[in-house]
Amino acid sequence: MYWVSFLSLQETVIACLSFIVLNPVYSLMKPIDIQRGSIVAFASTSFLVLLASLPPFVAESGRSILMDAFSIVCHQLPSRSPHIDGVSLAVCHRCYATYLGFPIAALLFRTFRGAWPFSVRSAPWMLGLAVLPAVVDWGGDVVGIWQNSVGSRMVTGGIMGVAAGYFLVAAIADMVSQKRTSGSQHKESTP
Amino acid sequence: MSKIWPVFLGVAVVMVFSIYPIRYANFLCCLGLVVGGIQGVVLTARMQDLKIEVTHAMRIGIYVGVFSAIVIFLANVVVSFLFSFPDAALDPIPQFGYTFLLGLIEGVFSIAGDAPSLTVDGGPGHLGRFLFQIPVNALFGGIGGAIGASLFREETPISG
Repeated sequence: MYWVSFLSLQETVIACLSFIVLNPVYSLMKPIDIQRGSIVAFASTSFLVLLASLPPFVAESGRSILMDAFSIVCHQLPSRSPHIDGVSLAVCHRCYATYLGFPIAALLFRTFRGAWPFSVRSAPWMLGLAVLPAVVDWGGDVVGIWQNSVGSRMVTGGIMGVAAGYFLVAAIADMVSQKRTSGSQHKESTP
Repeated sequence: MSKIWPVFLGVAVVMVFSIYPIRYANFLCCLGLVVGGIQGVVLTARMQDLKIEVTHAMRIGIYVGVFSAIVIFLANVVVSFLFSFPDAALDPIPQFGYTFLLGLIEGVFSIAGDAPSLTVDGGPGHLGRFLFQIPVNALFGGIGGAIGASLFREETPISG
């Protein structure tokens, strides 16, 4: 089995595990809504990563369905997609890193206690800036200034994913919070 | 009508991202759907004093995704038949609509099952593949809608 080439498997696992293990310990002190919201966000976004990672581990028919489903939102070029045991995952490097960025953003949202430093005016600019590295990486490759690599595609996709993911996770946390609030209001109003 | 208008504009954004050669920008992938969802939510929020609930925003994103799937499908069918051009001008899956109708004409009613493809690879059949597009578009449109809702979130800096 081989993984993305710019990090060894051990380095990737150690980095991910230390972040995942240490984060819940630190986040025990957080308000309950942020905890709950970020858990829901982490679970739902991880499910997307899981789906994209499944093709090498399922039978041919299941693989075909997954590849077809993700082909709607990704080019799936074999030379630009991560492989496990020679079988391509359902999305390309950049998309996979973007999806990976979503659950990482959920952990960051917990770490930063649900902080929201963006104003209505600055938020779109932050999102736009997050897309910029991917545009530059792709554009440079297209016009022949440089040739992008697995690493550059994954890093730029990851930046996009973490930034967009932070917005997505905040929305999911708000939704969980709104449901809890409306639920408790309903209980109070019931005689 | 004013409630549907943002959805239409969101679908229009998805269409723009689906047209050659924009779709060849391979860093875009699902970005068209996400941006379409965001666009629908932004326009809706502007009609409501820049306030929008997340569930409402996600619903708009999902509408954008589903309607864009239908529009892309229909556009592909029309373009394919008008120009006899299997790789039609719109993406994601132009040939599926084309071969679905061809299959019906030829009396092949099992295309939703495991019938072999009339054009390229095998898989779950063309109708089945088209049906994937509805939930996938809805998912990514919904993600766009949720992100769009966060654009109108109030600042809450780190506390305690």
